[in-house]
Amino acid sequence: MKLDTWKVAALITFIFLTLWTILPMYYAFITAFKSRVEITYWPPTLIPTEFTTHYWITVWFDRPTIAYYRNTIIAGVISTMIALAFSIPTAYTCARFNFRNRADVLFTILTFRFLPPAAVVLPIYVFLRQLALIDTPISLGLLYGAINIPIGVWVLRSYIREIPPELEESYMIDGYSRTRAFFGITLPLIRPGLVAVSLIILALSWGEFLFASILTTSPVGKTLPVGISEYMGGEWGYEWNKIMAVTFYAIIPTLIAFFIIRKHLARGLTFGIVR
Amino acid sequence: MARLCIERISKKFGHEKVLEDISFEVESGSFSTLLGPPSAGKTTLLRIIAGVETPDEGRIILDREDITNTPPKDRNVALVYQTFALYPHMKVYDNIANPLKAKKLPLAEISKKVNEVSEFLNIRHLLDRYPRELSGGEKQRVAIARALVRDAKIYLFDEPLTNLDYKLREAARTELKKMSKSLKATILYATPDPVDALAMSDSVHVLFRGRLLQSGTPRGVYNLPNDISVVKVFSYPTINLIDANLEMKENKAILRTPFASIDFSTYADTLTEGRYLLAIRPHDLHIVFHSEDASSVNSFKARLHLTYVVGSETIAYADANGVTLVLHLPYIYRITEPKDISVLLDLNKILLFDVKSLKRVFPKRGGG
Amino acid sequence: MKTRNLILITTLPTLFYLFFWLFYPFLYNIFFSTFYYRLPRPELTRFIGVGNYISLFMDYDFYLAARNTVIFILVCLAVEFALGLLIALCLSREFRGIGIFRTLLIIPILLPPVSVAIIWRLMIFPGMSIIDFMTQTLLNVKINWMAGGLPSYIIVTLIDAWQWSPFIGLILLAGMLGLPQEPIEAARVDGASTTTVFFKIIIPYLKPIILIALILRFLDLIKLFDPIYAVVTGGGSGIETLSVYIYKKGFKVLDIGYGATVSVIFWIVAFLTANLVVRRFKEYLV
Repeated sequence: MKLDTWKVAALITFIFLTLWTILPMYYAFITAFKSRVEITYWPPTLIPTEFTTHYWITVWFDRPTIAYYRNTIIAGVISTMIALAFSIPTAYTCARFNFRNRADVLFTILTFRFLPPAAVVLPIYVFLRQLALIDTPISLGLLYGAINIPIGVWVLRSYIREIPPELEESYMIDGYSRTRAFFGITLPLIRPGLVAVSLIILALSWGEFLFASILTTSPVGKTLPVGISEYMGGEWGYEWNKIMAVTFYAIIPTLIAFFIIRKHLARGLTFGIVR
Repeated sequence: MARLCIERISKKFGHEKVLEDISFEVESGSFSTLLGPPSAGKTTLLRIIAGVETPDEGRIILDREDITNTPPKDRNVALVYQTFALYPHMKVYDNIANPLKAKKLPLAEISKKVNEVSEFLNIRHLLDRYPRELSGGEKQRVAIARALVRDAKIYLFDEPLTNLDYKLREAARTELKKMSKSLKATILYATPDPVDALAMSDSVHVLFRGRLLQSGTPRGVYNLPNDISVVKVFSYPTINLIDANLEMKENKAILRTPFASIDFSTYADTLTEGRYLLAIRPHDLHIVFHSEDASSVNSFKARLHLTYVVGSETIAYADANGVTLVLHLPYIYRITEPKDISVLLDLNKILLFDVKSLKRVFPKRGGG
Repeated sequence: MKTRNLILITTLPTLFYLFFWLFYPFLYNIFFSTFYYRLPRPELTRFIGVGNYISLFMDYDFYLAARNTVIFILVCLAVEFALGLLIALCLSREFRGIGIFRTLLIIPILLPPVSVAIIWRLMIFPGMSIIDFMTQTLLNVKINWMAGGLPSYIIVTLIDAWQWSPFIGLILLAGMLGLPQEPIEAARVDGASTTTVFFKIIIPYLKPIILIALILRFLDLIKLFDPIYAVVTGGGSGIETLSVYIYKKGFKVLDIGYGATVSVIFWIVAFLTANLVVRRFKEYLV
């Protein structure tokens, strides 16, 4: 008897959770297929009476969506490259060498991850403005690179520690320097981890809003999140079909990234602490 | 072939002294064993010689060159790890070829050498595989191949047999001995197993808790251990330690133990009365099967209560008047219930140690 | 090269880069906070020492923002933990096809938070959304979720929970899948009921994992911004957190001096909290 109640409850919860996750995404998705009239239907329809694919195309040209996309990609790529450039060496030494201040270094780096963007955005704005670096995806990329270093360091350290140091040592004894050992042994063996970290950093930069909205002013520099929020506020007002279409164009890359690295997601999001 | 000199090497990890003032030499072309239990410091010492660990004090001299501060890649030392340390993302061929690639040898020559070594070690058919596809014994041979393919000044082996299952170990030991004879190379071999030392090496160095206790020929150290710890390390499976009292009456010397009184008169001229620690190896205790021998003075009664067979030998546990003795019998012997037996003590193999200093007092001759 | 040099050359640049973007601005903020400085009227800039701080001390909106931040942290954390636990429990069952669900329920985590907010904005928009329809028909009540007040608190919590409960769920699931089976089986054999097994064995074993999930989410919630911004844009307010408050004061009004003041306090509080938490629980982190 008792077992049955649990099973029923579990099933109900299961269905509820699945619906709760899927429904908003589904509804948003099909809204992009609705005609301009249909979005105002009351009650709102769950299946469009007429499938309109028109808006999926026009959103690219209606507004500077292409520019936003381009900027987001640039900022994301720069961010990933910078974060990796700094994180990889740091992760390596923090994984292999037991030096006195190692704990302090690692914990300081971790702490910086939790600083609120809002608490530093104003001076950064003033600073970049003086250098005329406002409104460019490059400066965003530089900034994002810094924010994502903690993830890079901690997660990569976790992957490096899984490789037995004997492999590198044996390679060195064979006749190579430690640097060559790093490139010949460590790097190839952490390749999945590198991919995972890169995609996570890309995804995080992709969705960043606060810094982007303050530090960019025009389609020259604005990223997708900023662009989309504008459509929301005033530009497109209640044209939900367009808004949803762009939103999904923004979501799709992160979805792809998610599918590629889902086995590494827990580790990536918990700084390497949870496998 | 090169001569290795270890001079006063010390190493601390944190507050723990892992190696303390170690000094010894390995003659060029000889097979030397570093014998010691786990955590004795063997691996650390080998790593220091290879260069992946730096000593706090001391020097390493190889082939008359001080290599203490040379990076591993320039030392021309080969090390076979206990865990084999094969590169998982490379094929066996590339694993073995790696040291040669480091020296930038021409491909044709690399191919020739790799094939020679794999032929020698019987792994030629594995060259195209990946390490994860190999069995333990195969991995070990690849690891050895990777070391042998080089013309190294010294070859270091870190417990290569420990990770093999029991049956393989015997065969591997024989092969290693054959190999070392044909190689004419300087070899330093770390192991906790005294059998390795006795079977294969020209010299042995006993390491215990970071200290070098004794160096010498295997037989020499085996027969004349300086110290209780040396005996402990150099015994299989363990050593029998018994409290004994030497009594001198008229011109007779009797060694009294809880289970026997031994006539020690012929040996006792250099000894004084008093308490000693008697050590006898399980190998040197024999079960008496014929009644005539049972009446010999040097036999005593005991109760055998446990045996287990290892290969074609038996380890037996007996109780003699409250003292537990371990016997190592070179044949198979099983009991189903406790059995009373007579045990014969080989007097020639008795070792006496001073109770306080734990140093050997009998036999008196100098040790290795 | 010597080990010491290698360590220095691989850690110092990283630390320097981090400090440059995330600590140096803090110093700048301290500097700015001592001035009256509004960007549209730079000529009025004058030094006022602790003047901004005194205004801050008497600023009702600031306290409101601080209070909201705390409320959201506590409520969101509780809701997300409860939901996350349910998610983990559901996903820990093994049956054919569970893999699909494990992927599906975790999707929200990696989506851009703005997109999540917009999707939900669609769901609650007055006059044309599902939830609006449901509340009107089923409960006969017209709620404007975006107008501030309790409905907005609820919606923001909802949005954050929708996106981040799976995060906690994912972590808890990873822990659950790593549970050693023997103690549980032994307890069952001894006759323990499911509840007992759950509370006396599973939860204690998962304690470190639970802590990690809570700590990470807690520290992230301090900066809560995106859902609130998306919900109240063009609508009511009163639910701002500190991040939103700084955004409004500093960016919309462009009062750099005052914005800097709030930023200084915010930065210090966040840094100290993160530091404290990280060091207090450092055993769980390594």
